[in-house]
Amino acid sequence: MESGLNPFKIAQHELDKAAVRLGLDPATHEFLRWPMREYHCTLPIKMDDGSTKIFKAFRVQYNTARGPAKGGIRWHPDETIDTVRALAAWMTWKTAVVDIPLGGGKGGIVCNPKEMSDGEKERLARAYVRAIADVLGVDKDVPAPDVYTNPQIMAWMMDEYETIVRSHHPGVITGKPLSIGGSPGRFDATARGGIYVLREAAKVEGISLQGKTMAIQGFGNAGQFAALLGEKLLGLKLVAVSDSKGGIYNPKGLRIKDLIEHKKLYGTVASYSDGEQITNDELLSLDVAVLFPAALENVITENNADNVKARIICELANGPTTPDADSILFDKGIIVLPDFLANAGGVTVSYFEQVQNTYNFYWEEKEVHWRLDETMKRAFRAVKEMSVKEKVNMREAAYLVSVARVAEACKLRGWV
Amino acid sequence: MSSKISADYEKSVCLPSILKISDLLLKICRYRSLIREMRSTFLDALEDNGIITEQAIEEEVSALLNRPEIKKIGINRSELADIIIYLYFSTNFSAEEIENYINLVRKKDRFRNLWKVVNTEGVSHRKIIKALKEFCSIPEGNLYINPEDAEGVRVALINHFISNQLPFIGVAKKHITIRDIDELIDRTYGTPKRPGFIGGKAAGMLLAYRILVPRLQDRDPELEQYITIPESYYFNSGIFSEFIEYNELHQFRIQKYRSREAIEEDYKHISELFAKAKFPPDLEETFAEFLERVGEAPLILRSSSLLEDNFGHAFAGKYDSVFVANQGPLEKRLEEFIWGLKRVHMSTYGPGPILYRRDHNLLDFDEKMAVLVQKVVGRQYGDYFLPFAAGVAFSRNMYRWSPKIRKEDGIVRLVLGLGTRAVDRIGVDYARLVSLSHPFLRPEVEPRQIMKYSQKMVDLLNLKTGELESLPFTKVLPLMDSNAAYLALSFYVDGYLKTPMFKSDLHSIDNACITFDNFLKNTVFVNLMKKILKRLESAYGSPVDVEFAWEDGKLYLLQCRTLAGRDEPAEVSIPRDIEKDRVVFVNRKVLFNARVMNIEFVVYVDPKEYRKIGSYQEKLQIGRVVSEINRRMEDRRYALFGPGRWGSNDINLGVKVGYEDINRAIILGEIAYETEGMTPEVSFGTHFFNDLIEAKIVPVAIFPDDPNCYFNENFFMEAPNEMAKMVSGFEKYAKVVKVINVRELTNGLVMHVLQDANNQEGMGFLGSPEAE
Repeated sequence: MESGLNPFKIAQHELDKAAVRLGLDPATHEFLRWPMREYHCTLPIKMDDGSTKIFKAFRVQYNTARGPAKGGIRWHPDETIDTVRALAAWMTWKTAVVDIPLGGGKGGIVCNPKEMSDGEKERLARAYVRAIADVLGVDKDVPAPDVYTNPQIMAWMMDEYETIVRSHHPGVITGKPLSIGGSPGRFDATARGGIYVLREAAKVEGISLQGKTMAIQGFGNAGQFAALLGEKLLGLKLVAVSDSKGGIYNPKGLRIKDLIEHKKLYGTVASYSDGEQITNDELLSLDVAVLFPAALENVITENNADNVKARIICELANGPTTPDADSILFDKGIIVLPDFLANAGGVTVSYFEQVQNTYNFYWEEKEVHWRLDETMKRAFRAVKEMSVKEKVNMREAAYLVSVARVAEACKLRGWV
Repeated sequence: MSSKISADYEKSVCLPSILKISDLLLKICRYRSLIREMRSTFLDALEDNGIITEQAIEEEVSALLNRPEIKKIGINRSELADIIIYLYFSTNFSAEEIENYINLVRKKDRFRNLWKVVNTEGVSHRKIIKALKEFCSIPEGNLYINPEDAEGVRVALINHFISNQLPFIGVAKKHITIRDIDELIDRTYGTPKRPGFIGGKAAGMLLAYRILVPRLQDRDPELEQYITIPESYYFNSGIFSEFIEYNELHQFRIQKYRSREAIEEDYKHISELFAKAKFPPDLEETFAEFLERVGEAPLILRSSSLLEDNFGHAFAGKYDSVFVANQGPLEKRLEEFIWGLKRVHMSTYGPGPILYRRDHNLLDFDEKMAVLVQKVVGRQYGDYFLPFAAGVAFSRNMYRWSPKIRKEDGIVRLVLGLGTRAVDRIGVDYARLVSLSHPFLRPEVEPRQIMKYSQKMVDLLNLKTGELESLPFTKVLPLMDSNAAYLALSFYVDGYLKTPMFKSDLHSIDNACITFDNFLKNTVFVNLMKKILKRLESAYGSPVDVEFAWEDGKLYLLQCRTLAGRDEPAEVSIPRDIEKDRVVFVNRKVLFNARVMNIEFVVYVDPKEYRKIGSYQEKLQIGRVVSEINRRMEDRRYALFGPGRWGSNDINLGVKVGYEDINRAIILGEIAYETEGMTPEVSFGTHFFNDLIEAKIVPVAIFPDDPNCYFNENFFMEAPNEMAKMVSGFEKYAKVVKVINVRELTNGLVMHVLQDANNQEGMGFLGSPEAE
């Protein structure tokens, strides 16, 4: 079972299932099982104490048949090439499912940002860009923030790239601070994309959401925006929220802004007074119209899937449902909006940032919103059609849509 | 005088010399008895400055004596020599220098007197003060009594007014000058009937201040520019003795020898007794005069007992400190002030400090309470009063979560507002922990995490209600000036935590988080604090902690004490060959090296069961059970494990206990399940934590959900509960609290706990008993 723990092996396994279902020819299947290009670098960095430290770094361009590679840069002490490969593959499918003209990529540096000063971080960011500048660019590969990297680091990286090419190229990287080419509307993009997909799903299924209830597991950035936007755009009533310290339930409805304020002050929603305390497990089994898992992986498992009573599950977190649980939910007729569709709003707005940078013309926030809406709407419809056509759950359908799109691009180019 | 004569004088080259010499003679004539000594001092000055030697003067005298005009006036050799000394001295030194030399002789004279007085057996307080005042009334100048000579008098004065603790005197005599004591006396309130000391806290503050900002030598312009102390007044321990005497409250003197239960029981009634008790009328008058002197400024009445802050026994937070708003008519202020004094005095008899003294063999000492009254450092914003920041700094950083962090550069626990938030174990709130070697490194990276582990509430004084309150920083900062927000806040914008780049670069307070990044980056604070801690540690010869406030660009020193020494093994290696079923836990956050062997009993408060308890009262009972077991343990070696933060003021985060409830444990384990949401905050620097260190209790933080940690829950769950054998009446809590007899359970094995700070790993495991 050891190979099962390797994230890249898991990614390959997911692809294998889709390839079989799609009836991909062996060459295309094999081609999609591996990254197209990988860069391994060794970066010497002068540390504040005068010593020099050597850092290992990677950039994987998994597939660029549909466009330049797109994907974040992770800084983590336990980073491995296989994690980066798996996530680069995942980005390939994610950009394909929302049908934006990009491929998939990912980068990583093995480092512990907790132990680095800002100066050391800046030197590392710049060294990384110097090492891979040749293969970066708005028409080659566009990185973005990810684990332990942030808009400030993106700004340094963009600056280093522009210093090397000696001209302005803000689109080489996304997730930049607004004042140097970031896009409006990126902050709530993940939750907003999820809400648009949810709205489409409800429409198609003939479910009215106005005045219906929602429960949110995880109350970080995505969870908070899901609550606000769910109420504002869809008329949903928030009745339960939880975080790592426990949850709160009030069938009459929770005051969202008050709750956000409470979370900010006390670090948890569990101690919020206007409602009764519930556990995370109790929240998952509430009879609500919509359930948003917005925190951790593997929260809906074969052990609790049977208790889930929500009509729709909108996965804002990555991998909240295990494959076994997926089947149970499917059999129960619960609509699961899978993570890499439901949370693809983030990468979509990243793409918009790149577009605006390239045109050097910036949109109003509302333009970002309606374009995101259109993109998510189209993506949902494609996945839904596939799900009906192939009689598979939405997650499998999403894989089928995206793998088919990437395979088609490879074929058209005459690669395979 | 005719105009002709006057013009002749002006032309005369002698005129300036005549003026100077006559001025000198007029001055020294005022001190006839000292003239001889002055002359000799002048001659020394002439010689020391290379102007003329005694020999040369002699030669000049010999030459002059042969001149007829000199012979004519009949002056003798010695008189002539004196005149020549005066002449040279008055023409070669400036008026100010001359004044300084004269005053040096005067000082030496009064110093001899002072020496005699302080060394007279049974001399009265009044006489010492008179002699001291005579000495100090002479302008200080820049010429001083020889420090070795001065030390003797300093020792006597310190012993008389400040402290009779030898280790304190040993350090203080090098730094606290005679004039410091004079100034202190001017700010000391007492009763003529009973002399008293100003107590440990006041003494510690003064000494630290003088180590950093010395009056005489080794002055550092940076420290002089930034360091100060709050306006302070000393209500000496004589007042306390007088109060006890006047109200015939002697029965409390023997309180300390009674059983814990009796002390606790009596303490409940003491408040009523003290409320009824009165200060003698003359003292009340003194208090009223004092309040008129300081005006309507908020005050803090800080306990400053004789034992408190004694070298090696910090008494951290044992006695009460009381804030008084001190607003409104004098009568009201006086009433508040007197009740504040009583409250501080009352805490002398509290079970906490008495049991602490019992543990540290200090019970037989006749403890007395003085009160340090200070104007609260801060500024008024509407009805609120608070300083920009405050906190506590340690010269040794034991919180080294990264090997980069240097222990010897120290650490600061920093909060916005009053420092009460930095020294108490506060609910789900967090002080900013600043490792001074790397102030910007923090264990959290993600903005959400940083926001979670940051200060949310601000302690401040509400001048209207007179109460100490805690308000969300989002309500307080908008009242303060924008510079406070610039220095204290970072903002979550654009998906990252942004530190303001300039003073007006502020965003919505709703997205703000207290990081102090600009304060640490753009003020002298970090370097200043490093320098302060190094200097204090080297003067005291042991690690120190310092409480401080920061307001208006100045660092106010509030308190300084030495930290109890801890015998830390230089190196500890964690064994790699322990069988899995013998490992009790593996932890990865280790504060210092420790080797605690042969633990025979384990007391376990089950975090999951504890969480299930619904009512506050029931949770409070768990603290009682622990306390009772602790008492019964006596000298048995036992380890205590329980949920979250021991001693937190939020009962949902940990069992509510005080130092006295856990003082016999040798390991204090804090278990934090991610799912239970109980994170044992790094409470390094709180009073509670200091108590552990001092009592040589080793804190161990265990995160069972962390993949790098291990917690053998079965060991705790499956062992039989022996609580009933130890305490009775608590049967209903047997599910929550368990007492495990390790030897009986394991056929003679005991538990050993090893902590290796260098590699940040620790282990608790079962093994054969080992020789100590």
